[in-house]
Amino acid sequence: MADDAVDATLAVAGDGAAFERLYLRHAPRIYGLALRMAQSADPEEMVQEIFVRAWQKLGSFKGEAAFSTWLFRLGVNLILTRRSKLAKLWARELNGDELLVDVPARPSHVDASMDFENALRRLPNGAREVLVLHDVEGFKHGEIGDMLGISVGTSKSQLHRARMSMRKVLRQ
Amino acid sequence: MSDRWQTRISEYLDGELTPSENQRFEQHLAECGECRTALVEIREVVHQAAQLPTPEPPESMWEGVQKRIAHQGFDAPIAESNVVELPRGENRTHWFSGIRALAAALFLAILAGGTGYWLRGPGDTVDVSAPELADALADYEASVAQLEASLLGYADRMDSRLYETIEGNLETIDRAIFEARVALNDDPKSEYLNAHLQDSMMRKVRLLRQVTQLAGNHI
Repeated sequence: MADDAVDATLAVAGDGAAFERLYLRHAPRIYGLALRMAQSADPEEMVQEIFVRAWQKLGSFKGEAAFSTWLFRLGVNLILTRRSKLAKLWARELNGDELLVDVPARPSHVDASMDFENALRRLPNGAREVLVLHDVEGFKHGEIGDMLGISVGTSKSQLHRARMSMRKVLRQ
Repeated sequence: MSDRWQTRISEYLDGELTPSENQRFEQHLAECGECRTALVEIREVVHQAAQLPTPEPPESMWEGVQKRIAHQGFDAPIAESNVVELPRGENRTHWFSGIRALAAALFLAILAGGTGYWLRGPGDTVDVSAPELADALADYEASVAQLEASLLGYADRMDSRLYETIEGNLETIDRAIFEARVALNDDPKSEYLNAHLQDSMMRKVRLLRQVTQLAGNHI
């Protein structure tokens, strides 16, 4: 049994130290997910909500998939739900069909990874989500389809679309 | 750039084309400078995405998680210092032998109060009659016995450190059950004590159930 499965089991029984170990192993990636996917003004609050929900739902983790996959699925679900609520709250339509346009050229003094992060933020939601999950986090299209509720074909086409948009940034 | 192949560049990079598609794509690449350029640029996108640093979360974030869990009324995590670690080599079946006696004692203690409380969830307390309680406890005992037997089947193949950790946590839960039972002897109708007892018993079943399920999937 992997460490995650063991600690998840112990945490279900109320072992806080085991849950803290799970947190320490996965919080950086979940924090990155919140920063890149949620585009929330308060990613820390988002991450806390994800781990609180994970604590509540640990009993549903059966070890059939990796714990990280289970946690990411839960996190993505919360992020999408939050965004949907915010969109309604702000009464603003988030246009998933927007294309990356007029990306400014990269100033020579700006770190390349920061430039990449900035460009990532300007991608349409669907394309950004798939690129983050596939190219940054290393999930497969089948897993991404499950997380986002889209088909494998849609995941592939969104990924290609995101990459084609991002290459314009790197070309500059 | 050929539209026909433009949309396949990512699939080619990710190794998702069939062998014949792969061959045709590479033939096309040899003839199409635009697609070659696009391939190089997209490969760089993939490379940079994979190289993005994993951000370090603020140290205060874990504290916030703990506070929110406590605030929402879930059980406070058991401190590591409270988890009993058994010495290596101790008889692994010791807690199995104790559970039936404990369940029987528990059964008698609660029945002595005439009726008991059985919680379905936080704040959702229902009165149950003695026969209903007896049925519930019998079901509980049967579930625990079945799960213990399943776990024993994995014991020899399970990492000893893991097994000892599980034992330690089961000991902690058993102690909580025992203490609740003792307290109920003095105050058998205490809603708090009954809830605490039931929660501890359910924790034990959840732990056993998840351990056996995970063991079944991974051993």
